[in-house]
Amino acid sequence: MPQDFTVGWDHTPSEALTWNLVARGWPISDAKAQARRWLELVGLWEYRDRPLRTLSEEQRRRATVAAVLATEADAMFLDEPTVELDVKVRHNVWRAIRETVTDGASILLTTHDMREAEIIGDRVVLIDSGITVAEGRPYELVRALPYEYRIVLEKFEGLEEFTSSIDLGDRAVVYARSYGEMVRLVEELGRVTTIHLVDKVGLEDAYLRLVSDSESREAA
Amino acid sequence: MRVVKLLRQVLGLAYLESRWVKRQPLWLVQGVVGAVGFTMIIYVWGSVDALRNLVVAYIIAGAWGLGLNIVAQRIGWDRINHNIEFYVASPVTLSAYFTGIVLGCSLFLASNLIPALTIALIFRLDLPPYSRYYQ
Repeated sequence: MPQDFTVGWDHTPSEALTWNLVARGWPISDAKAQARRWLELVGLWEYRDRPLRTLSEEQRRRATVAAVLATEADAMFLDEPTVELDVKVRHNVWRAIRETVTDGASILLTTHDMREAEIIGDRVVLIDSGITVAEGRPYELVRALPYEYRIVLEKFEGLEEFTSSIDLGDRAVVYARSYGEMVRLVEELGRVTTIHLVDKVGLEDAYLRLVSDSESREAA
Repeated sequence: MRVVKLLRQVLGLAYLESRWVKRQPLWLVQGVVGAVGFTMIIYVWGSVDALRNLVVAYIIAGAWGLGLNIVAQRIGWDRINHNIEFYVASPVTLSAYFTGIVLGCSLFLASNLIPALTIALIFRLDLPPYSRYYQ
């Protein structure tokens, strides 16, 4: 599924799903039932008879994702399938992708959303400028980080003392190696600045660290 | 089973490729009006004898138009909107794709041929010239 691909234009979602399945050799009755199942899953059943050109970009995206996953192909390549989808629908698509994988399909999915990769990926390949910087199970990549927690806070005088921080303009991310260090940092920093978020580190932090290490190696 | 699957593929693609009819039904009306108008002009210029080759002319010219439309519009448009990638990564075969497109676009040809055939039947253009029916 190419990133800017739409499954139809003059077609209704129902037509696009049904007849694309027929074009793959499905019997018409099975194709109709499958189309209905997927349109309900992505919340497009009530729009099933409207031409796709009259629907919003986000609704067309949903129809396209449904059309691809409904094929039940053994292997699928999805290029950023959840771009432009709202949170609820994105979760429906994630569920559909996981169900498809559980049914035995292999899905190669590209995304810029590290949280998406962390949640639905069995294996993750992190790529920077076309070069693989790491690969493995998401939790393994996160566990390899030397930090356990991140603290998002308002920038303040003296932030430069923290070597493990990321500049976010008027905010910054400071990392803590353990629960004890996190508690200590929150207490200390809470006196001098505003703390916005305290969270466990994730794949995004792993990616930033790996890219930063890779750039340091190149510079050296 | 393979034949049934192939027929389904062709049917599915023909349906998908014919949906322009819903957006532009007047293209068909345009074809019919063009065919009727052309017939009238030819009849005025050369009477029934001139009309005799009308159906053959429409088959040839219609097939040219159809081929041009398929290559220049349908396949080109399928490349631009990534349908080609979608089909390549599927069980759809090249022959099923092409046959489906031809069927899906043959409504263009039909909009020219049906009026031409109707006129041919009305004027009994299937009969040879100078036969006793014309005397």
